[in-house]
Amino acid sequence: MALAFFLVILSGGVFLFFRYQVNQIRENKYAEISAIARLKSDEIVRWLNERYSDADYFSRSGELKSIIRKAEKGTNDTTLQKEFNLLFKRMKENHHYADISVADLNGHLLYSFDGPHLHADSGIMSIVSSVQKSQKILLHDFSLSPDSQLIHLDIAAPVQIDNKNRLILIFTIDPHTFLYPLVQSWPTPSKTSETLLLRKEGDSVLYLNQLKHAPWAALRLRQLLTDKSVPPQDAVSGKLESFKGEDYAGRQVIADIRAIHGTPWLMVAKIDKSEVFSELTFRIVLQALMVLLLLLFITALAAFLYSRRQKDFYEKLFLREQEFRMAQEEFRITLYSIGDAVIITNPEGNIRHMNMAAEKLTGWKESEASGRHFEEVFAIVHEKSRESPDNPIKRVLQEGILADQFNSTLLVAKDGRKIPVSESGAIVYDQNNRISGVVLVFHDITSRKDAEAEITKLNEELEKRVEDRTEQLKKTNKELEAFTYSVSHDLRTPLRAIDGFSAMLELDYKNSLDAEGNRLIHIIRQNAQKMGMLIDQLLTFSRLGRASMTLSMIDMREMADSVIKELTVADKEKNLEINVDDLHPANGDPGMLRQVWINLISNALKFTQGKATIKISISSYKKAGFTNYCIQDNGAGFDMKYYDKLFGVFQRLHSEKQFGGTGVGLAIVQQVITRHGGTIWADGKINQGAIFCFSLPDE
Amino acid sequence: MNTVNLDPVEILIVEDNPQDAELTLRALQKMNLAIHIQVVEDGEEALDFIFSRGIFESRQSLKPPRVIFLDLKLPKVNGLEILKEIKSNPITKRIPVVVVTSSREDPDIKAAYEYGANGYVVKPVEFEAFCNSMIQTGIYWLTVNETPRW
Repeated sequence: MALAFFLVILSGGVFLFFRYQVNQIRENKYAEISAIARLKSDEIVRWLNERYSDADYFSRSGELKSIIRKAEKGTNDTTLQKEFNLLFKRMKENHHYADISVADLNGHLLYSFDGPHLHADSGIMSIVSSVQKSQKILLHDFSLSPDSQLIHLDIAAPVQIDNKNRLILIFTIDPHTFLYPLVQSWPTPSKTSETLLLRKEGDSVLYLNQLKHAPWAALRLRQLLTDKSVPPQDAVSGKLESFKGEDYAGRQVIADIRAIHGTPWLMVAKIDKSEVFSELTFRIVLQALMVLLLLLFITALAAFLYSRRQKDFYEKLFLREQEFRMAQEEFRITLYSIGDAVIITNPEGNIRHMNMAAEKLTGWKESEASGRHFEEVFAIVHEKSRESPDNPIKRVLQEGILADQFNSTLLVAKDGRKIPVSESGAIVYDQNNRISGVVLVFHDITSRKDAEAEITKLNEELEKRVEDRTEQLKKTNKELEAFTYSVSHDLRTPLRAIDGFSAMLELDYKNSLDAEGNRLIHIIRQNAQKMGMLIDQLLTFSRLGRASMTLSMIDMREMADSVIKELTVADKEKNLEINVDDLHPANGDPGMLRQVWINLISNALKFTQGKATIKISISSYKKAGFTNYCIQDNGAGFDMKYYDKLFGVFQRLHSEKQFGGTGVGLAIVQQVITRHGGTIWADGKINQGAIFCFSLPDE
Repeated sequence: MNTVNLDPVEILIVEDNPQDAELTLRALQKMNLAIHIQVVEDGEEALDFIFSRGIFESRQSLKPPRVIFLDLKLPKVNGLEILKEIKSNPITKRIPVVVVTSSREDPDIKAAYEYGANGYVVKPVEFEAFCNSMIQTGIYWLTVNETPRW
């Protein structure tokens, strides 16, 4: 259809082009013919004018006139003929005149080169009478000499002698020498081009020159004006005309017809239509060939380009395809080697891919799951409620991404197994940012769930054990309290009885007992009292370990001062030098810390007994988040060898005889300091004093 | 104590240990005051005496003791329970009760005052100190301190 349309358009175009070409060529040809015709006609006119001027010149020349005068005077004819020949010889030869002659007004030839044979008498007569009538130089048109059958034309000029026409000078021209060749010549190579001269005579035209196709025609071929080969009336009447039609020989021609100025002639320049159009045909054939070649070339080029493009295209397509295959292969390998289960769906939730892990978990083969709706394959229920929670694909599509969900989801496999899973997902976008699918990654969290359960169980057990242990400790504590209680009650009561009744014995029977008896009672009482002290100390120690602490800020200097005052009120010894620095305040239980000061200061006082000068100094300093308090004395000191026994309960480093005491004091101090989060340490040398330090945390 | 003493009693001592009771009596006698001292051995007896019931029914018309020395560790009904009962009864709650015990334990002291004890005296082990404590306590409650006349 399109091809037909194209062909119609093409043929239409070709036709128009052809017509344009025809017109163009015709016009070109016309132009060429008319240019040639104009040139020729101008040439003819110029040539005629020269002839006119030749005639004019010689008709006025004195030499001719003198020859004529001589003739009138009756000079010998032969002599005059010689003079005449002399006068015109050069002229005749140079300008190819057929003859130059002089005639009298009666038409008698007086002089001539070739004699009178050229002209019939009637011919000369008509020339003479024409010149006589017009008194001008005249052209006597083509005529056929009746004797010689030669064609000639004449220029006739009146010769005036004494202002009177006496003779006629005739230049006879053979058209074969110049005019016919001029008319017949054609400046461009052409087989059929031809120029004709015509003369209108009455209702017909006379051909004046030889014709290509009728060499005999000059002055012999005559055609009626009505003949269709005759140039139209307008042309004959002298107007310029371009013409196409048949010529005298019935050939189709293109012609230029013009009148030649100053003559009765018409010039027809013509060329055969067949020649013109043979050129046209040639040109068209050439053009068609070129177009064809061009078309072929274009087609070939197009085909080449197309094939190259196709090649490139297919090459690219092939590479793309290859890349795509590789990417897909990579994708498949990646997908199928992932340990986690992966399901890929389209945006509607229909399954496109699932890997082996997913196959294993769901119990579905990829081949049978492919295309099915996601919910069918990835059926989930809530761990406890057994209800179906929101489908994760839906949630991914809503939220864009789904982080790892440990939300107690159970996957119901194809065979009904329920597997705890954790799932995460994301949307896949294509190049145009449209959703092209959803990726869901999930994995079996059975082991983790088990581990979690195990941990929960262990935690519960641990809590239970802690509870049990706490309970046990509470019970022990209770028992300890009860024990302390009974110690405090029940151990002291018998001691009191021992001491009390011994005292009564001592008082009531003092005189009945001898000295030894009294000494023994005294020893009983001493030991009973000591036992009472031990019990008191032990109870203090135990009480401080259990009692709840109430912390407050304590002015340690004031506390140490007041303890010193209390302890030294009994002995007002002069040699006592106690120096207490401006101690840092402490955060602690006032009752307990007071006990610490009491024990440490009383120890210092006790172990410096007997010294000439007793020196005790108390100081404090801060270090690494702790405040350290130290009490130094110059007393008996101790052996560092037994340092590890220093703070033990009932541990004594000196004999009772030397220094009294129960050996619980430092244990109590250590107990209190430890409960405050601090430490206690000491340094000493026998007989060179001791230093005891304890630290309390600042916070 | 087979027969019920019908004299007015100034000090009621609740003490299960006879030796302690003897020591206490001996100490109080040093006060040289013409007073009657009644000793009961357990909580039940003490409550009977105070409320004039059981074997002490005949003492109903008599004035209650001016002060009670109460040991805490007693058989049957312990000292704190006795204290609670005395102090919750509108008639007997006005009787001063001094806890006299071997225990210096804080919980005991707190509990005693919470139930309304009027004093808390720890019995020292050493005899002289014990006597001093008892004498001072007795003098205070019987001579220095004023109690309501019934």
